[in-house]
Amino acid sequence: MSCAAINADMVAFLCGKVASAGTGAKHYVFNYDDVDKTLSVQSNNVISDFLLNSGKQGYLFTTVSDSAMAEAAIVKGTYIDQVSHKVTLRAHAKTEASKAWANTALNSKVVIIIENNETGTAGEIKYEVYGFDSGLDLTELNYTTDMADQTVYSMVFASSEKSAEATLPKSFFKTDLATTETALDSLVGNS
Amino acid sequence: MESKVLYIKSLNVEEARELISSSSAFRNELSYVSDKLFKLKVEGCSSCYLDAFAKIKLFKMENLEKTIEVKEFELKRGVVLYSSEPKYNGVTIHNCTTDKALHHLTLHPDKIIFFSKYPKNYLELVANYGTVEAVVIDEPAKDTEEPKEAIVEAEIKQEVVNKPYTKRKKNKR
Repeated sequence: MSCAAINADMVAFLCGKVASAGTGAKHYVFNYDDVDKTLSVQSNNVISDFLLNSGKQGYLFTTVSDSAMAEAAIVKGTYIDQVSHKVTLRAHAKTEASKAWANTALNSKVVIIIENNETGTAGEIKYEVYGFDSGLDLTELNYTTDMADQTVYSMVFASSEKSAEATLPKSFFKTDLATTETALDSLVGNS
Repeated sequence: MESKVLYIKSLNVEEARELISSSSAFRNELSYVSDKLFKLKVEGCSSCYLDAFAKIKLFKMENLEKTIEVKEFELKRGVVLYSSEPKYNGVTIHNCTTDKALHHLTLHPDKIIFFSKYPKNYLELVANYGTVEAVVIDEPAKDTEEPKEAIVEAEIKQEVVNKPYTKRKKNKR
């Protein structure tokens, strides 16, 4: 059985436009178990409804633009290929709160929505979800007193070797950019 | 909100002190509850958080409803409810009121799956909400007046169609 077959043309370059590199300043972190997979809706690798279980909430990771970095790469398997997701979040504030946050990230499994600088034509590519299928583990936690580039803690969340993702990071987009951001706001903060 | 207050009240001083020093999430929770109950946000020193904890601990649960608006309906996080009516459009956990929830549930009762909290008698509330709307539309006074006007209007229009242009002018005068 083959699930994969290329079935469409691809335009790999847009005249007069280059893709904007880097990430924005607001990212969203969720505990993997808090995501309601039954009510969340995805189609063609675009998540239009990202819902959390009752009583659960997401958390904002607010930083400076381009501080966060996200990657994805193929993991060749014996039978099935997968995609490994990796998100690097850097804390630039040496505070008790940021240390406590880094400590709680130990042993956690998370899903992270990254704000890209690139928005696409209507904002459809601005937010991408890392670890939606299998979650991301904290695989690196670096701390130095040198604070090179004013980075106090550097945390790398990545797919586990045993269970990566089925696809590249899925986009999160609902109707238009404003509605997408309304939905994102509803995922975090006190109500 | 009720569960948050109850959770804080369930802690003893040592547990609270430990959480205040180790958990920013707990400090945020204390600040939020303190803001809602006493209009006092807490920031800064750990003793300020401990003071807020003590205040919440002494707070009487029977005063909760009087102090804050207890939400009957609460949407799950991530849900956005749409409507063509601006007042009911873009409803999320942050702005969901009983009226907005009942409006959407009246139109789409199956949307109850998107609510994390709702009263047990929500079906009754939905039924009554629909009845209230219907009563406004079928108000007795309007029943006797509006249809008559409508019939008269229809008759006039029919006359206008049937009669020549000059006679129409005379009728209007």
